[in-house]
Amino acid sequence: MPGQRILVADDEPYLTRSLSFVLRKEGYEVETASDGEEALRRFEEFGPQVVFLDLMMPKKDGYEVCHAIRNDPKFRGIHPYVVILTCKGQEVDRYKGYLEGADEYMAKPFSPVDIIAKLKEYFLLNAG
Amino acid sequence: MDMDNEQAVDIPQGLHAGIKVEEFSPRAEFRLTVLLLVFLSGNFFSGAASPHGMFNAVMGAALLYNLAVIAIGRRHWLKAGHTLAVDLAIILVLSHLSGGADSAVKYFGLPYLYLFGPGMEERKLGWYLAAFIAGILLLIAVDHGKAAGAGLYGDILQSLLNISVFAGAGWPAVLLSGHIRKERDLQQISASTFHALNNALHLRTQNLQTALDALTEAHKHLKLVDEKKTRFLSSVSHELRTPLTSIRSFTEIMLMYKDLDRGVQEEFLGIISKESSRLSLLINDVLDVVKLESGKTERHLVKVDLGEVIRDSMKSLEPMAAEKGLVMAFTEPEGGLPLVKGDKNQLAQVMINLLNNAIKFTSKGGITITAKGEEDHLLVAVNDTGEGIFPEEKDAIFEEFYRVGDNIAGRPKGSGLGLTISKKIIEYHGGRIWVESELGKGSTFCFTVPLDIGELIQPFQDRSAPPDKVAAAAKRDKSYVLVLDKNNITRQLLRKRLEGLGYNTLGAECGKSGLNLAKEWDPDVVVSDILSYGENDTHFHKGLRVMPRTAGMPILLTAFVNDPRHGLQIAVNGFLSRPVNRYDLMKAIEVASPRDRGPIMVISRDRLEARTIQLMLGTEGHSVSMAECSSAIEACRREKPSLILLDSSLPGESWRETLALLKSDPATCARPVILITELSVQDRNVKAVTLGHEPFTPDAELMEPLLKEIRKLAGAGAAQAG
Repeated sequence: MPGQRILVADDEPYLTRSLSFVLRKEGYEVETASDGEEALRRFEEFGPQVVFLDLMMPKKDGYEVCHAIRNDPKFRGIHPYVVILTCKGQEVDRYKGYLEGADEYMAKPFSPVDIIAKLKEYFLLNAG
Repeated sequence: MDMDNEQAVDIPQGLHAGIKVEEFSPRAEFRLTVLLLVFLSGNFFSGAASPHGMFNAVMGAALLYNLAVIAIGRRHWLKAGHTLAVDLAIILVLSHLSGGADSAVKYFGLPYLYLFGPGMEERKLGWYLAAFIAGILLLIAVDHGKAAGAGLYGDILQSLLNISVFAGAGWPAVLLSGHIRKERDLQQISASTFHALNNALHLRTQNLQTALDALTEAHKHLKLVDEKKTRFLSSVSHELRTPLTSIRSFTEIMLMYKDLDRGVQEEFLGIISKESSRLSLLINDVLDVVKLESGKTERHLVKVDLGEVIRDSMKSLEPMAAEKGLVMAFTEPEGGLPLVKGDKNQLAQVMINLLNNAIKFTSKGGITITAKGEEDHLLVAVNDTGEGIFPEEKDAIFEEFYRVGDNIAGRPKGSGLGLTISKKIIEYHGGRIWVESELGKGSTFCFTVPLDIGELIQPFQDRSAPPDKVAAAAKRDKSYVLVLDKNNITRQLLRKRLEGLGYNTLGAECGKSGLNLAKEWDPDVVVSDILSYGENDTHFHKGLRVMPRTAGMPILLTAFVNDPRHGLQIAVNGFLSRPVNRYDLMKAIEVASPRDRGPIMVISRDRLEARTIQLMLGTEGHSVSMAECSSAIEACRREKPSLILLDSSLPGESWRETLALLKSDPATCARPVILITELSVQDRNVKAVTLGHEPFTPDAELMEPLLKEIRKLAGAGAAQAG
């Protein structure tokens, strides 16, 4: 599936490792970032359609990155699918995530199977 | 009348101090009197007005005064009954002077009577009526006598009319005056009651406010604690999810893709394994924190050599330090460190945490550990040459899940609870932990632990709360007897015998283990061989007495001598504590009851003591012989003493040998022996059991005196009781 680009941003190296491994295995193009600022840099360079964002990251947290992606004039016209990954399962956090413009909110520990299913659905609906 | 200010504080006093009689204003009285005089004098001198009409008016005014005052709302001008009476009396005098003598009597008789009559104070209606009738009779009598013949009945009618007028005016006035007085008293009482109540209310309000403040404070505190707990829980949940996510992801990956390279498989399995250990480490630490927080940690307090703890911890972390090329060094004062009282494992945990952190945050250089005793505590410092800590982080690092360098990429991994746990442990030990650091120059973590100052009581445990074992002991059906004897065979024999009688027994061969058993099992009675106390004769004894729980534990002192050639011998007939005094000496001799009047033999290495005893006994008419240890047997055979005083501090085992020899020799075996010991047998819970002085065979009934004492103290054995 060339052209289907995914950015994974998490400060836990094992998480980026596992997620990127699965996604690559499934044929997606994957880039990773280990903090908020790096995530924004990679987002600009790479132009992914899907972004996985950890909520608690150094430098800039998931909300801030999400906010920037949605509101920065630089990214006007780009509407990636943003999934927030987090250990915080509380409703408040979930709403905050949606308020900042996240499309999906996934609580850890999640299963790679779920993620792949979600992605396939997304790309099917947004093909082209 | 600002009583509010005057008695704002004390209630009981207020009840009295609050009553302030509202006196009639003297100024108003004065004014009224002057007015009256001016009015009367005018009439008096000019003779213009008829005295009758004038006095009618004045009387009415005086009698209606109180009513008028009430009507115009000046209650503080009210006149008391006697004041009013004085006013009326003045009018009476003036009336008399003006020449209206008979009319004055006529007009004043009745009001005068009921104002000064017996009913004045009580204002009873009956008295009033009595006065009224008396007045009528008086008036009739006067008028009758004065105007007999001429218009008698007309005068009587006139008088009655006047009387009715005055009575009509006077009655309510008088009643009112009584009512007013009552009202005034009531007012005063209610004013003081009001103030007392007000004060009480004020006080109560203050108390309630204080209680409310305390409650608010407690609520705030609880809320904080609750928030902290919630935060902790959410942090724990976060921290647990992270490794769990890794484990789950990699496991599923391996299940999904069967064709993975061996290298990749190994990498993933490695991660799973690593994350699993991280998870279990985290769980352990979380449990540690929870346990420490709730105070439910089991602590085994012993004397701890922290030097040893530090060296062991260093050894276990040596490989980790070596991997990073770090050198660890420990400088210990000469002669070692003073001992502290604590839980060795917990203190080791603190040490390992601190060293672990030091190694983690140091990339080059080394770690120096210093420890020294300071006044009443031991100070340990772990110094590293790492990156240091921001000043604002110095307290935060001891908080749960706080990680130094949260904003440094590739931060070291850990549970984030190490320092929290260390802090709690140190604080539970009664010490303090803190960090000194300069950014870029490394950090020094310091902690203190109180020194073991011989106190055997656990310093931070609730002393009144007995440990579970004691509670269990209360419920146990059998009595426990602790047998303390250095000699294995003696101990076993005694225990076997006691077990046979239905007691539970515990055995210890030295004072130290005996002390631990006594603390742990709380035996009903301790049977102790006098010389099994260890090097320090009194260690066991003092140890038991220092602890509140065992302070009253009865101790039965015995002296068993086991001699392989002669079997078990129970050999001592009494004990004498050093320094020997005359009373104890005579008492011991009396108890040992020597059979004949032979000399008393003193076998001691302390010549001065032997001489003292000789003097004491000499004045009581005893003859005394003295012998050295080496020649003791010879001397006893030769002199056939009636009693032997044996020094238990003879070098080595020589007193036992001496005793064994004395007991195995037919010539001396029947002689009673009293042992002179360092141990205090004055303690009222210590009883030196005097045993028989015949040659002893293991199954002989000579153990009976001892068993008798045990039965007395610990009850009959279970077998017998059942």
